[in-house]
Amino acid sequence: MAFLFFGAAAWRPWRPPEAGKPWRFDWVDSMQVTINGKAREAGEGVSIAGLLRELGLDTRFAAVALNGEVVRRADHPAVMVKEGDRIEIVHAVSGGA
Amino acid sequence: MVEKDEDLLTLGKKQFRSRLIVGTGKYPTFEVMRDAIERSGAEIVTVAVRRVDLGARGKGSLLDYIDPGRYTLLPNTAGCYTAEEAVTTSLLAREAGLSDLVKLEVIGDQRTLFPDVVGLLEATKRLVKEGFTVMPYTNDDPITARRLEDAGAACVMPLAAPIGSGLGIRNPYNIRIIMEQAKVPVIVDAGVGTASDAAIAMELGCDGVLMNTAIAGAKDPLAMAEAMKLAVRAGRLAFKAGRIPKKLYAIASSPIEGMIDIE
Repeated sequence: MAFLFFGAAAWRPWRPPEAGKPWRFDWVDSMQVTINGKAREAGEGVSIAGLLRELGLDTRFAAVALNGEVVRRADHPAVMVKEGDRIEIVHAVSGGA
Repeated sequence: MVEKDEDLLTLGKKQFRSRLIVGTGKYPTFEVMRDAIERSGAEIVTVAVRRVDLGARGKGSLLDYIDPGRYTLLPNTAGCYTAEEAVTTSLLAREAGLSDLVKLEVIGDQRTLFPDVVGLLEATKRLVKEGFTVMPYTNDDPITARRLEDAGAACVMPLAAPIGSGLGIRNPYNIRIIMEQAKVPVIVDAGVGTASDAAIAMELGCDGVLMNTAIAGAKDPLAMAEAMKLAVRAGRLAFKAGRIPKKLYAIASSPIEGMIDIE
């Protein structure tokens, strides 16, 4: 079991140090994405469905666009989020015209 | 429930008894909004589509107050300035499970909020192809209305006056021309200020009226909601009843014969 654990860990890529920041060893288990115009961390290899869960959103009447393209609800579990993706999550709000 | 000879408004595949469509914006609270919509008798309720506020989890959301099972939701593309934005917003609204109806707005100018009819026509074509029931918010221009109808719009929605202005129908003659040539429903959208404005639209023969600010911005939104419901109904009945022609001079409505004689 231990072998499996460390074996898997050894294969995980690590994040190179960022310029101007104190060096910190960091597995890349999160990535930078832009959600609704704000930079955020998201778990590596997460799907749209997973991301919505991570954010704790009520998704009954929410829709997602990934880099400007609408992602069908049925595709939420299969479509993976990648580093640098722009994600828009919208829902109905009050409004007339 | 729907009787055969009932006077129904048909939009795409759906039919409605109420000819009043209301917005959900500008109400002081969700509760007032819910009660006003209820009192207006509207069956179609328009909603905007915006980014989810990721910091506001657990707060009440609009759809906690409007039951999508009871009302037909009409997502709008308010705030879109290009056909591209309006199309993407519509696709998102449909994907969100709101509706395949869309109150299509492509705004041309921030100050007047007048529609950009070039972008509107383009967006209409694209959304019709996508299978939407497109309800475009347009100018009171009969030619644009005809173009939109030709492009497959389910209705045309000319403005009475600028959005939120409350000026009433500024060009009733154009609205009449639009109505006379249109084979799809004509719904006056925007600019209604009070009940008589709505009644006038309906008396002209329009198939419906869409409003938001006139109700939400009234001192008593609930009372105004009911006033609008009655006005739309009264205007519709008056139109169907057929008004008398206007004349310059009096025509007595009591008999001229049989008057008493006092010298």
